[in-house]
Amino acid sequence: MPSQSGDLPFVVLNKALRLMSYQELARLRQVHPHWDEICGQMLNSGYYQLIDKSDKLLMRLQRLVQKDPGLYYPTSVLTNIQVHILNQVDVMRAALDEGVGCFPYGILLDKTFGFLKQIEDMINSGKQTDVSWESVAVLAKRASMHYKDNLEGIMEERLGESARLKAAHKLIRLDSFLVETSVQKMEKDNAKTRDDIMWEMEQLQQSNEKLRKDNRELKQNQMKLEARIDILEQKFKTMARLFS
Amino acid sequence: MAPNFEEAPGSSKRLKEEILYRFHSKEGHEFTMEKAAAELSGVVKQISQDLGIDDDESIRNMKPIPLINVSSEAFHYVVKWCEQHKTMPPWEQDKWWLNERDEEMKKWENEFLGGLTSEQLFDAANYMDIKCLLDKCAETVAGMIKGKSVEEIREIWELENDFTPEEEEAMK
Repeated sequence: MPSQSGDLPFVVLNKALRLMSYQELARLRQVHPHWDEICGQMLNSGYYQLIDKSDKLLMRLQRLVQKDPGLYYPTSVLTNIQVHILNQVDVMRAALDEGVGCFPYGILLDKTFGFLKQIEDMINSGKQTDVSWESVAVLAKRASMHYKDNLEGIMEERLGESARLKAAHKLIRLDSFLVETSVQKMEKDNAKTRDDIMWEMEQLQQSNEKLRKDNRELKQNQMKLEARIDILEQKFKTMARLFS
Repeated sequence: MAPNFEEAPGSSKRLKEEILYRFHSKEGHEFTMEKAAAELSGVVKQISQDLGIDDDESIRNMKPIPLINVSSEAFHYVVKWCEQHKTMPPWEQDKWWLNERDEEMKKWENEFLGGLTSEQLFDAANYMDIKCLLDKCAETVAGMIKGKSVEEIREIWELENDFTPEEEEAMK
């Protein structure tokens, strides 16, 4: 077979990258802008999945812990994970929600998903295992500081640009709305004028019809009168002949 | 060495009794593939469905399916793969962990793809929508990526470093 080369089909690359850990994905962003986009989307989706899973798990534990005090430990671990790991990196949420950046700390996702799996196993098996979340909390703190020192400025710039674009987009929409409204108003006026003219034309047609009818009647009367005049003329002529 | 298509598993010189789909590769070579093997391809299934081909006789009378994006070389390997996998249970796309393969098959697959890393085969698998081959290709690509440095990966896939220095710095 020929040598390996650049254009991997998207499906294959996408499937291959799905087999990677989040830490690997964060590193692979550097390969190529196309890879950056795919890996970035996967990291963001991983972050949202993690938040969702963690929230659901905490709600479940809060319900269960009232009946089963043995679940106090996983509940406290999950609360600590939320407070010391997930809340630390929540500062990036605005940039992620707006789609102007990606969650770059893949290792946090891998480790925290691992903890959630341990907690799930604890719920299912009822056996407690040690979850050493503290070292990851330190990593999350570092990630948060790294973000503030290196990325926050860039993200704010991008957020500003995104807000500017959104405002421009809204203005365009407003403009087109105004144009559309004016056009609709003109169309409405036009239709009204057309209706008025049609009505007037109808009225005129009706008057015309009436006039024609009157005209016809007048002509008939005229003819009748002319006939009578003829008869009278004949009579006068006859009388004149008789008198002469 | 380029494969000899006359002796290949997909050669058109096949037994008349077999129910075979016929294909035309990009270069115009005619290939055949046994029904069970060909139906691993989503495209073949779709075409058959669209043309209302639902019995063996219709398959025999069907015109060759033109595969304008698949080279003869890549198709030769696609046929080999499909013939090997034709008896496997349907491939689970979403629940991939259910796709159990015995050790012998895993060994065969690894040997088959071990020497092949051509994008032509990936393209063919993608074009013909052969899920099990696509997943194996992805697994192979993942194996090639894992543990390699960014520069090594760029070298393998002949990728240019298209980032600006600022972008690169921001990513570190």
